[in-house]
Amino acid sequence: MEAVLSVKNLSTYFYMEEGVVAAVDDVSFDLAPQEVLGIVGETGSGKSVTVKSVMRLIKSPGKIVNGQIIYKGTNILEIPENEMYKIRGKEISMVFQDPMTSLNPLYTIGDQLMETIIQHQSVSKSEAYKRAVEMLQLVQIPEPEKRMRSYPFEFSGGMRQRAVIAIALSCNPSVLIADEPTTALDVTIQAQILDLMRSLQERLKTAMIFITHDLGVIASMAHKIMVMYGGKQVEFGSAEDIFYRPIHPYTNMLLRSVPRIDRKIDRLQSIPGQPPRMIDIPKVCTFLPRCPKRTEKCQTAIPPMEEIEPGHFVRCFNPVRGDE
Amino acid sequence: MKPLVKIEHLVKYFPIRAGIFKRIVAWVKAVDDVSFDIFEGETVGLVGESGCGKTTIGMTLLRLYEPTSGRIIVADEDTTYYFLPSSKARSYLKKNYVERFQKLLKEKGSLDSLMNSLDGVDRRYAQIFFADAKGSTTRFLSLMLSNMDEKRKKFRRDLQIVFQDPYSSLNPRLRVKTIVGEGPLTHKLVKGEKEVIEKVKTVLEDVGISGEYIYRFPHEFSGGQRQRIGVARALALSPKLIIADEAVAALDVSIRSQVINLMKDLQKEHKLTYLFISHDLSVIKYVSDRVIVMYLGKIVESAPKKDLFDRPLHPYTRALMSAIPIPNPNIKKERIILKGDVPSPINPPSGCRFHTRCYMSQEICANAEPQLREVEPKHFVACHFV
Repeated sequence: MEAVLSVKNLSTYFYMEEGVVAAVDDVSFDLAPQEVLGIVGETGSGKSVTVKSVMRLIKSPGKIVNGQIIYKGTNILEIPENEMYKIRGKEISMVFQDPMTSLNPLYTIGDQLMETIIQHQSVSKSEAYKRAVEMLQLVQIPEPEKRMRSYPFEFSGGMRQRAVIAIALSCNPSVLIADEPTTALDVTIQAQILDLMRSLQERLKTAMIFITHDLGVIASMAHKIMVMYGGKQVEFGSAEDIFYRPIHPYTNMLLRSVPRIDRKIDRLQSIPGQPPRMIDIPKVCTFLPRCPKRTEKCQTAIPPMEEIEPGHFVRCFNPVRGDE
Repeated sequence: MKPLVKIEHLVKYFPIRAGIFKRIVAWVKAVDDVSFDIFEGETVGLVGESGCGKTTIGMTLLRLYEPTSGRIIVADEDTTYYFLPSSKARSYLKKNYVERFQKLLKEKGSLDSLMNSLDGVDRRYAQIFFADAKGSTTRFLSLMLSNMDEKRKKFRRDLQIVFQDPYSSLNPRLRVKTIVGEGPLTHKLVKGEKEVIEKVKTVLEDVGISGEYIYRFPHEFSGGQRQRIGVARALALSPKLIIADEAVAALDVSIRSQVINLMKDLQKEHKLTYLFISHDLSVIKYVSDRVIVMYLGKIVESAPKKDLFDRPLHPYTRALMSAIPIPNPNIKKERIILKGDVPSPINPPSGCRFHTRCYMSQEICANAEPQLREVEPKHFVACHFV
């Protein structure tokens, strides 16, 4: 199937006084229609910068230095900013982590929903109002007409995130990007929102990029998963590939270092060392200093992304095999 | 095993003030009648969602908040009055001990039967009152209120805390040596520069940080290392109890397992007792011996870890467990999705506080508050239908 969104060799660097930060380095992926792609990684791994680059929301000192982002056949890195307005929020929309800061506290929920609808679709105010109410119903906010007049502070965290999802979906986007949408929420509320997002995705068939640091959340949401570390993709594959047959040493160790409610664990594996300082990093695998499988060869170059089995890619010279 | 800490009927309300006279208009009932023990050498996991009162319990236990009512016994001493102004401490002691003992004596008739009816701290304090103070209130009070400075210092040394955010819990202007060495110096565990440096180096190495780094500032360390320094600061005083308030919540997955493992190792080496406060049931499952689940200021369930995770009995505990995402894409588990949000602790629901969101709720739940009952050995649940 033709991909809706195709990212090729994307590199986004930040030019700081201290040096160059390769926040995203040579990242490529395809997003098929109706597919949920999960991006998982720790703080500073580059997952948010990747999607911000897709939305062209990178500001100085950051710069997209290389790559193509092809949305429905056009490289959106080459189109002028006023064309981008038509894509951002309409074709590709985004849900951020903290619903309190992504809503404007001075406007009602209704105003903010209607603004997006009027901006992107040529409809009258009364028509926009009707759609906005429908959207609130869609995200299961009770008494939607009354809630249209509420301000964000009158909503609880879970309700705010529902409203943000309603805004993001109001123009029927082809791609929805959700950047840690449930991280700020309590677990029982997180379960509600994940449930809602899953059922909406199945109903509306929107392709989705779902970013999280939580391996449990990604397992329940994504069809395909991209694991990032230190600005680079380290592994890419189906959810089953990543969780049952992780072959990059980082993914492999990461999965064993999480405490789990469904298993009895005597001792967690821990990954020694610290995440890389990203300034002017040497041209080798970023996981190298912490990797138990490093060899001489790792000191020489950055390993390429290699397809180990169909659809399962890894960036490593010494991938983990079998039941190691 | 004997309890290191006994928390009895702890209540903490916070006033909400409004208007020009700052009148109290309502109370936030953060912790409402909570009792539990912490035994020596164990890890008690305290779990619940935001606003359930878990942090307030930690802070009240440390006396960073004064309890509204209730009693906190640490190592067989009633510490509730330790940090009260002397007039309040006097009236607390009078009300809780003198008047109670005098009343009991009338009821029981003889000193012997009074003594037999008491245990623990009560019995010891009764002895002080009737034997040492010969029944005189003034003498009893002056005995109880003597050496307060020493008592307070001992309390502060015995109970330590590790905070959630390693960025805001270390003073950015102080070097690691001062941050970690301040405690031991204040408590006179070490004397002079040489001993301080020695001490700081030892504890830093205990938590896996090279002793060479003692002259560095917090900003020179990563998040995981800072949290280790936070642990070292607590450890430096050889405390009996460490309260870990979401101590690993702010850390990345790969760093989190390092810190959790470190805390488990330190517990073995130093015979520490932990009160581990977290919202994350998977972390709680890994570290705890016993787990207490809270909802809106109340304990809803408490049990040894195995019992709680094998057979969760309270509907809230079950919902909480089913809400934890499991890192396995093919797991099909029955999800219990709770309706709505956690209600406000200002005006908590009547009866069982969970009834507004509970899938088992019936009429009785709105009217009568379920008491915490022992349904199986050591397994306590507060629900009408268990």
